[in-house]
Amino acid sequence: MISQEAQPNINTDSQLWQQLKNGSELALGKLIKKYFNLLQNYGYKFVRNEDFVKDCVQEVFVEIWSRRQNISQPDSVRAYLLSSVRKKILRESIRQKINADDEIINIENDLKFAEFSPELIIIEQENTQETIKKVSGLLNSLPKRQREVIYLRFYQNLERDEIAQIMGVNSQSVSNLLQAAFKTIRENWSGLIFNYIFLINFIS
Amino acid sequence: MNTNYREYNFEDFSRDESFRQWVLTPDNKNDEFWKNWVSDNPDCTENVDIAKAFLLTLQGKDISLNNDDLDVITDKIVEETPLIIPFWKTTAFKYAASILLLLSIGFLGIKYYVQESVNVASEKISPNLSSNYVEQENSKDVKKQIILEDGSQITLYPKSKIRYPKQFSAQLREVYLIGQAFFKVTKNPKRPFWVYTDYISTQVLGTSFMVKAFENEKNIKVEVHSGKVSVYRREDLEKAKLQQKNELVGIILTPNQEVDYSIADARLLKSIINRPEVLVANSPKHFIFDETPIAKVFDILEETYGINIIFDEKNMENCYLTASFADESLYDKLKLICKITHSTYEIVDAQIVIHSKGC
Repeated sequence: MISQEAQPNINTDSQLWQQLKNGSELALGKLIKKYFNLLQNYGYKFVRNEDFVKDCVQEVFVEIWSRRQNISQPDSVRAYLLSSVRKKILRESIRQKINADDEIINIENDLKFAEFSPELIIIEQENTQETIKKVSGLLNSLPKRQREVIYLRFYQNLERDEIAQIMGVNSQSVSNLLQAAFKTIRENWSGLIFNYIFLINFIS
Repeated sequence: MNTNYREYNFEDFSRDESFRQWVLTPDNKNDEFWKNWVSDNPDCTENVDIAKAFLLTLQGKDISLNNDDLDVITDKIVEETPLIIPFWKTTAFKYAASILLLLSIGFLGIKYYVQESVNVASEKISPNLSSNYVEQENSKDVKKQIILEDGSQITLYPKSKIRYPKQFSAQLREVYLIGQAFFKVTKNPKRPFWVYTDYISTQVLGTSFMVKAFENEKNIKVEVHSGKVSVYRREDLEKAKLQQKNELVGIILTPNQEVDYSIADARLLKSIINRPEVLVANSPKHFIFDETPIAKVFDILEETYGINIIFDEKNMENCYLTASFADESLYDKLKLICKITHSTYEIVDAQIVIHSKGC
């Protein structure tokens, strides 16, 4: 197993954040370069509207920039940003729903994590395409909360505590969701030739 | 590259930065590296393939913006976003006059959410108050006298805390209070005096006043005994600053007036203080009215307490008062007058309104 998330990365984030608080436009630019697309990707999982998601992510950075003198230093910048985007999208979805925007459909009291729909066109190799179909089919069979946990853990590369913070649950719930997801994956993985060792490591 | 990718399992791959970059943001360099690696390690192809499929599945539709677009967004944010500065850093205030003000918190005993300690709150207020400040706390049962560098005097009440800079700035005199204090402010029109509490702020347009603002209380009250003050909600001041406006939405209080601020409603409500004081220095202690027209009586009271009295002159033109007043409170006087003239009174917007059926 590799070590936890690279330490220098965390330092860089909090350094950038500190610089941003001091009014550094450069630091703002760096954070935007580093996180904007990841945040958009996350937002798009809830609302399939590129412009809407882009506006929400942008708005999150606008708020951070305008309140930079009073804003606190988060433990994890990445988790803070993801969590802010999640809240912003939830709020804006509800607001725009009131304005009768039919495109915004994923609203209840919480956001619904949509099904994964990977783009198959960009993949050249046929067997990779096949694998993707199987993987996405499997992941989409999971309940939405489990899908979101898997996504945050592996795509956004987050630790359990960070996931808990973003989804507004405790770390134990995150572990439970992950384990439930792994159980389903293990039981249905037979369609793929797969190195089972990874699943064992996964859960430990 | 020393990393032993051969020992990598799926999770390791999906969290490896180099691998992620190849899958999610491929370029010639990483593509070359990973293609070579896979062809050198054909037995790992399966693992790599699944890890890749996993990441791509999780990514879904790629809606990434390129670096140029991101630069445009950054520039736009920097150019168009106003900095939100706490209002107390503003300096758009002009004068000071002379006053006696009692700021007090209505005590409702309901535990409430004043979460900020004096430290946190005052740090937000002003750089002057967050560094190089003096903090005084009165934990005794008697009042404590403090003299500020500009000569202003503060009487700090028990269980109260005040923070002020060692040296006031050239433009502003600012203090932060939790609890209750009486201020005698040295007049200086060029350096307005501000008293900040958690929810409302009071600009002193003059020389002496009292502030009472304890934590864990639901209502805040500002009472003016003499002089003039203006009271603002914190959010209004912040808003005014944000919009670069010089007009502030505040309430100006003159003697014997008070403003109630309810934290729950976040509203300022102007009224008359509990025990209005006689304002005129040489006013006679005793008022003797002998068949005095009621309009004349009200005139005298208005002048004595500095409070407007509104009544229907026509309706009450036949009302006369014969009475002798000593040092009853204004309200006791009013009650008596109302009884005699078959009327009632109410307080609306810090004015006394008399309702009478006529005499």
